[in-house]
Amino acid sequence: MQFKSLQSRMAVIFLTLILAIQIAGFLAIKYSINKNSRAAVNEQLEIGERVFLNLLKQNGDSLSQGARILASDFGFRQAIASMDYETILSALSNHQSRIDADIAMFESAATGNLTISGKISHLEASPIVDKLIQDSQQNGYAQSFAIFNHQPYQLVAVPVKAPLTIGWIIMGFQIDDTLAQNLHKLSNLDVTFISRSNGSGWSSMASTLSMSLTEKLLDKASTSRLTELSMGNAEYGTRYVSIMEHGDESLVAILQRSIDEATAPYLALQRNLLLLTMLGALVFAFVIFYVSRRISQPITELADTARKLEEGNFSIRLSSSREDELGKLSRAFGSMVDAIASREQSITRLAYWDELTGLPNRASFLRELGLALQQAQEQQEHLAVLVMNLNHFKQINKVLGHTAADDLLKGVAQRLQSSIRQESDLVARLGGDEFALLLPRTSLENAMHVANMLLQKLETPISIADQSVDISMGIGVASYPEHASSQEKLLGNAEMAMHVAKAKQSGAVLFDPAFDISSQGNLSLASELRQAIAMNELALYVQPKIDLQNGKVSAVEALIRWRHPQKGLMFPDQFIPFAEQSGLISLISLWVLAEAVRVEVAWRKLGIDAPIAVNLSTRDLIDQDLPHKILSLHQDAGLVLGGMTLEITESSMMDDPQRAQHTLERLADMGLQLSIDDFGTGYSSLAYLKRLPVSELKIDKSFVLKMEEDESDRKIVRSTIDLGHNLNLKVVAEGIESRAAWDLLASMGCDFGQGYHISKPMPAADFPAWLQRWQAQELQTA
Amino acid sequence: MQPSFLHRSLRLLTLACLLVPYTTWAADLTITVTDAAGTPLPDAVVWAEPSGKATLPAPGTAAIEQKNRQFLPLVSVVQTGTSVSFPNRDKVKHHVYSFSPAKTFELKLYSGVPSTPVVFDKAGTVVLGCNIHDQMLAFIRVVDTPYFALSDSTGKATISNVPNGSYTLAVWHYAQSNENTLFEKALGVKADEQTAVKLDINTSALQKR
Repeated sequence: MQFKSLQSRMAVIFLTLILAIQIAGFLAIKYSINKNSRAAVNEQLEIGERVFLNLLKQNGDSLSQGARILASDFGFRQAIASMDYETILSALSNHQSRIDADIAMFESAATGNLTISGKISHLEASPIVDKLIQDSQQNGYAQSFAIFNHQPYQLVAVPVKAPLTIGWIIMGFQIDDTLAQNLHKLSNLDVTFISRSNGSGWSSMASTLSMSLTEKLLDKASTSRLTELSMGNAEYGTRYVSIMEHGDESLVAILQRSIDEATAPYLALQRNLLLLTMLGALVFAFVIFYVSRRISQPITELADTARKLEEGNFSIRLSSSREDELGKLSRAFGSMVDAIASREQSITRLAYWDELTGLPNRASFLRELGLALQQAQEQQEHLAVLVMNLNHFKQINKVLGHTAADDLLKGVAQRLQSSIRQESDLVARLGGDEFALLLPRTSLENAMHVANMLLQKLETPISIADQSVDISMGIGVASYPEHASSQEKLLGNAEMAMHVAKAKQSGAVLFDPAFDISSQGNLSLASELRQAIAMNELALYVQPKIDLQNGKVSAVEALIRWRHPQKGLMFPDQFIPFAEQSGLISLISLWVLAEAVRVEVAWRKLGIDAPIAVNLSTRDLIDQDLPHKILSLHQDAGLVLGGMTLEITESSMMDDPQRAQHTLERLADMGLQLSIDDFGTGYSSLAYLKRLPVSELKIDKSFVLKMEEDESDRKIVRSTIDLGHNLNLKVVAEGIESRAAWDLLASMGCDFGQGYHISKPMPAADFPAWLQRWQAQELQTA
Repeated sequence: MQPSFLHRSLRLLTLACLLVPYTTWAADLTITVTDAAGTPLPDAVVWAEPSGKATLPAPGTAAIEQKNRQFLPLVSVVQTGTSVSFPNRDKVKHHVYSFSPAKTFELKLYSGVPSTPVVFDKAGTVVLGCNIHDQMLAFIRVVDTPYFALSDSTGKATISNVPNGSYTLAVWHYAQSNENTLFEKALGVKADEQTAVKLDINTSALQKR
């Protein structure tokens, strides 16, 4: 059998057990009752037999007493002495009626004459009387049984003494219903006398049973002597007492006791016992049910608790006041729940919190972002994510050590934390020197404001270990619903924007789908760009660089344009950042270098001597093969190295300054001119700058453009020019858009300049014509 | 009292007269009675009855006492016609009777000596009983001869002074097996004679005193 629950299993097992015990007990008692009642019947029958025999003896005794009284009666003796038959007979019958005997006889000792009073013949009586007298001669008196005329009698013989024996009186009682009834009264047994004589069959002359039962009994007893007889739907314990057995004459008393009657009181007892058994089983069933429930219920509760635990619900409290094992189990389970809960808490903390700064970690941020996004979607709100990365953290780490770097991160974290809306915004540390900020219900514009605010906040140096450290960071901003709708995507986009910001050194940068090289659009852009290189869709533009003192064209800066078949002419800032990220920049740089060499060669043939300056990217500076590539390009074109200038930004050197320096040194050794582009926007130290083999500085156009109105910009430009000159460098100003600017720069001693006032960038092929016009114009002014 | 005294003295006188003339031709008969096993049998009655007519002396008297609720003696032998008195020596009364054919009589409850003795006038055995004391029993053998004796404890009975002549010797014992058959033997008496008689005895009938 399979049980679903402990409770039913216990209930069934114990109930089965108790039922088995009860049934066994009941059967044993039933068996015992049966056995006992039979034994009791048997005992009753035994006692009955003794009573019966005693009764017979008493009967005989009273009979012989009567006979004795008669025998000692003087008158009777006188009558006998008279030898008068009539007298003797009358005396006999007189006495017979006096003691209520059925037969009275006298046999004379002297003559052997037998006088009979009663309904029997001499012929029947003689042999029995002779035998009786013979017995009585030895014992003084004799008893026996006889059957006369199919009727059993009890006979006694006593001598008549005067004073010697002169004869015998024989008295007889018929064995009849009266005797049977007497016996029944004494012993409560049914008594039946059966007899046979002279070859006739068994017959019954007296019985306490009904006629029909007597006949049945006679039927059965004639053939066998079973101790248990079934007669008329009842069982009788039966005992046969042989009273007389003489030749073919027999007299048997059958004593009987109804077994059913004897069992009847026990049956009532048994019925009560059965009732009690059933009642007991019922009570036991209830008790078992209650007990098993008490045992199994806490277990069920524990199982429920375990299930809740599995679902992560730790709020369950287990309390048991029970003192037994189940109580202990329950309490142990409870403390286990608490332990698991606290462990899970610490695991959660580890999983969602950054130990160092105490800020949520990336996973936690993503989770919160997910929730915020969900809410934003439901409420149709805006949401912005900022990703921040410290600039030059590697160097800081290297210079100040890990402990200080950790302290720096903590300081940054604190500052960020203190700069936000506490109730809604969330700062997290994504890892390393990267932080993120979640701005719910914030538009793109506001997010940019926040980003700029943060940049401003970080301008104050952070002091670590008695040192003040200047820090800056690149911030990428992405917002919902403009840039992405999933948390991973949104964060990824912000990170991308952050990389761009860092690359451009431009503080905060809003995400642009163009940043995403992995986006579908950018993937096709990559293949398009590749195709553009192969199909020569790229075009080399040049912008002249003039000597500010004499207005002569000293060189040109090579710039790139993409003649996109569908989108038309594309400017570098539309695909160069992407090319830098995707690695295509190397190919593009190589293309530009090759094109520059080709243009140079073409111009030489035209007699134009205008060295071309080519912009190199960070990636190019890391490429150890670059010097070799440039060399072979020149050799292939039959050009001598030395005319070409390579422009590099400050930031392009900062990612791997040592390698960059190594590359630059090799290029310089080869005789190439090196120029620092966008000078003033980066953070390069002068010490570093001093070591570089550069020959030229290019002042960023942001200073030059406002120089005329802004005093400080003017001062910067001036001091930069002075700085360059002091370092023996030529200084180039970008962004000259007016003659005034030219003049001002010229007055400041700036060596070269370029800008819209001189010329916009133009296709390389247009340059010879422009040069002719410029030279002609110059001649006019000159 | 007077008559009995008279009878006794008369009898003694008669015996004395008889003894004198027959001294020369009279003999003593000694009979030893045993049972079949040879055990001496006391209380056996032996008598010699003359064959043919003989003049016999007149019968005398006898007495059977009742003492301690017993008849004394147990066995008596008397000549036919003897008067027997039944003096009661007990404090209780007795009712002596006999249903024997030889003499049926009844002495209703009495004390002391009944006024009239009972005359036993017919030979035979008389069994005496007391109607109120069933255990009381005595036997009287009435014989037609004055020559009789009772065996003593050694079984020896001596009939003295039996005149010569022919007799029938008879022996009877109350416990003998066959009550109705007497041991009888013809005997010619010339001198003293000794005879041994064996009787079949019904031992259960032997009275123990």
